[in-house]
Amino acid sequence: MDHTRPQDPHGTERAGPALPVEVEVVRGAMGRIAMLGATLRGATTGESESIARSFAENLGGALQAEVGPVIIEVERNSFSYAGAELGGGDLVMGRLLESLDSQGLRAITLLPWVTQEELVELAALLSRDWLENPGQGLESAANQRDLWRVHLEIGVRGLVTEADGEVRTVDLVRRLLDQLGLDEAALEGGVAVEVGAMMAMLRRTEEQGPPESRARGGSTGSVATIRQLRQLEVDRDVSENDASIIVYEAARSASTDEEATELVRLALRHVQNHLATGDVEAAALLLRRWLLLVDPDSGLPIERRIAVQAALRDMVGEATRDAVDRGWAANPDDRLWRGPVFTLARCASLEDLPRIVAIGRTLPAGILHQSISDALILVAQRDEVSVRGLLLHADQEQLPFVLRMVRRSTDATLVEPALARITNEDPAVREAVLISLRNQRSRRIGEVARGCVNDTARPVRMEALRYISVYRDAEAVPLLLTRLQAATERDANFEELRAVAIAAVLASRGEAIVDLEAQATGKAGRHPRAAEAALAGIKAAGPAGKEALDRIARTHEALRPLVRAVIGGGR
Amino acid sequence: MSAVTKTQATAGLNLAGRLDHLFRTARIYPDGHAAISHTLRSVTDLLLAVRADEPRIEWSIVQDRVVIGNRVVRPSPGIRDAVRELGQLLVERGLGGLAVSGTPNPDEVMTLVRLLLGIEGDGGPGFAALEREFASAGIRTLEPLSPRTLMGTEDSGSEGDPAIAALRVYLRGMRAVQAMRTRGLSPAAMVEVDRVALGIVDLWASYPRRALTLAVPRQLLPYPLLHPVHTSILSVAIGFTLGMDDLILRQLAVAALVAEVGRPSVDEDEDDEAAQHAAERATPTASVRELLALSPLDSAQIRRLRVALEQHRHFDGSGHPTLLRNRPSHLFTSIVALAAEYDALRADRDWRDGESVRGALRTLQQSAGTRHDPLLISILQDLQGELEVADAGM
Repeated sequence: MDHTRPQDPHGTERAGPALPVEVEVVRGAMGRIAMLGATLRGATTGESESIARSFAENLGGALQAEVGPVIIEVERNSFSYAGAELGGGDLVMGRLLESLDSQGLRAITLLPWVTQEELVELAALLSRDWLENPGQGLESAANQRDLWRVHLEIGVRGLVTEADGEVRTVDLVRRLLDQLGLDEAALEGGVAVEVGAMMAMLRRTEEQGPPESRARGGSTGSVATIRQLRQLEVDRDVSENDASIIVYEAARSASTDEEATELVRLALRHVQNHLATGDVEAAALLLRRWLLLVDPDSGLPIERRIAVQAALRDMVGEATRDAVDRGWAANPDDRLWRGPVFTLARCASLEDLPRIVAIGRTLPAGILHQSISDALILVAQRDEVSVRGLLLHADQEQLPFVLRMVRRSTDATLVEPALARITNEDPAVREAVLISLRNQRSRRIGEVARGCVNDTARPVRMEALRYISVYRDAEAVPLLLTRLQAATERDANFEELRAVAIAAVLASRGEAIVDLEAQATGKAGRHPRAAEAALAGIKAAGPAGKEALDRIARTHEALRPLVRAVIGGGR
Repeated sequence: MSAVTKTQATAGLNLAGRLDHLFRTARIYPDGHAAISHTLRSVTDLLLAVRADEPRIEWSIVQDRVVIGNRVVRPSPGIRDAVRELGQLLVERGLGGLAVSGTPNPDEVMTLVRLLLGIEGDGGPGFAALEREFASAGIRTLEPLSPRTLMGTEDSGSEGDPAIAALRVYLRGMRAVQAMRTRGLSPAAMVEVDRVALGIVDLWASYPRRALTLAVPRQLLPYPLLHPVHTSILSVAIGFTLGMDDLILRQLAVAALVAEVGRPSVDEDEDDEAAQHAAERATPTASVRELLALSPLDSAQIRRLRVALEQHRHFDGSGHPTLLRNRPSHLFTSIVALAAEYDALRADRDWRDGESVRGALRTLQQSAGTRHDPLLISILQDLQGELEVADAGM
């Protein structure tokens, strides 16, 4: 059944936390099988195809998710799943159980992502009336179908009693081979004779006694081996690190580049699985090793490095975005995600920028976006792509990430292309422009920052004040004093007002104390807390400010409580 | 006490499955919730069914087996893990099982479940304290039993003729390996491999000589096809002697069965040494590739991957592939590699006859400390008598 394979040959897509399938879904499915059996026998009327389809759709639908395997136990009188009986009391179900019991069926295991085609095949197998048409047995029939995610557990049946009687061993063996679906054509000539000889030998073999009396663990020996054994017992013998080393070594020693890339591609699915479950450290551990593989110092031939790098780029795609989205929901700790996100972005090429940005946007901004941008700087260096070029061509979604790349640079040629974005309609971008230029000092930036003091968005204004304060932009002082005087409660909160006052003091190197003192003691402005903001600004001037505050307290009795509050309130 | 009936045995197994489920749901839902009440009724009925007409009966779990009275019952593979996990939950609380007397009611069972869930899973308060806890909680029909072993029990796990059961495991293994090679390693194939491994471990634990008999190379059967099954049986024999528990042995058996899953097919009869050599060299990475396609990447899977990659490497670090990190091979790898080489030495090939048990062991002894771990060789040598008995029969 090749049609079960194309999309996901090994059932590894989108693994995640294994939730159980609802008992009622499985109960309904087994009810449909019983009904299908009855219909095929002619005991009830109905359309067998639609029943089989309904079975496949309902059960298949439930298994197309991050669920655990469904294991249905088949007992003599009932089916059971997850500790619940699925029925068996009625005649229809009873007949189905009897039919399956005659074939020795003990359990049905359905693995996640089983296809509807496989389920239809299963329905045909289970609903056949084995009592009326024993013919080729269930086990043999199942063996001849290529069921990719369905497993039937079948016990020994119909051999023991006859074997004790007059049935010849060789006939018994043939029957056993038939039940298993192993015909001689599939093996080699004379296999039945050989297996018959084995059985005769097995029957003659005398055992020594109960197993517990045997020397389990009786050996002593090399310390290293015993240590390995102990580690195995406590499950500390292997780790994710081993997995990454295995893939790394296998990709190194693969006979062809195609094989190496296939290994990496398969392993990437496990990274996505780890991401989806929020196990980000394990994901990063796997990825980091492969980045070493593509490092020019890895000693790998350049063709293989290029091939592996191309495979690694597959990591940055939609499947990973979904995995990150789900993983973040499961484990939203940005400190944990910081490193893995950095590593993930390093797998990219700058041609993948839109895709890596799409992944980044599923995560909150801040340190995680910065981690992505930091990784992209390394990628740009590796790919010999200029950040300036990226900045000139980045679209609205990419811009915040590219601006974060700019932030790590002191390249003066980036200033103008960055400032060109200050007119962007998105305040987050305008803020990002100013943040990206924090490490650069120029008159042009100062000019733009001054313009932003009256921006419509508060974060932009605050970032502009920060720039003016840090670079002591004296030209901004009159503007700041005006702003302090003119600001109303509606367009600035106290925090911002205080920042304006502090910026004025710092930018003027203390000279604005006089103006602020005048504002605090005279006409303090339109904002009800303008005086307090001015006093806070004065305090930021250090000893001179302290002296000014003392003076104000001495001369303006009404302001004493405010002065006391400002001095006691830090900053 | 009269003999335990088949009905009691079945009820005992089902009880383990249902009780495991009850503990799981009780962790999530409050008492009286619909998700609990159905299973609770079922557990209560099964407790009665286990007791049957006896005034009192003991029901315990030892590893992944259920013991009723002194009769050991093996669960089917489908609920085996549930039994093991329930057993672990009980043992962590200092409990091996329960003695049932009288007629338990659902309230008592729920009290018991809550009581046990309330105990820290670090060994429990001690058996005497546990008895007091039961009494003070008003649990009258269920008594705690301390953890036990399988000593003095009757094993009734095999289905009928043990020779057929053994042969069936062997042939299922053969079929599984054949399917892996022709159709690829599907998730369902891995389930089958796991079941075969379970069968091999059970077989070794109950009938070690029969197990070794199966591992004797046979001229008439296609040798490369059966090789992993033999390796698996011999690996379990070595692992058992080392002291590995059943769960680890099962993983070892699986690792041996799938170690060469990626081996390129080369006609054994083909007189092309270069092709055979190339196939062998390509096997580790190809096997890693096959295994890597399966989920989840848990510790059992990582062990299999290590065996697949390292299987042709030697104890002294030589062999292939050449690894950048020359660390010691995993213990599983060392065992599987030794078992595989023993089997290869024993088998007849076109260009030579297979060696005797003694001859093969002598050859292996010469590679102690270079190709193989001397400790493991000595364990295999300890099995010489059994191996010769198995061989003589063939």
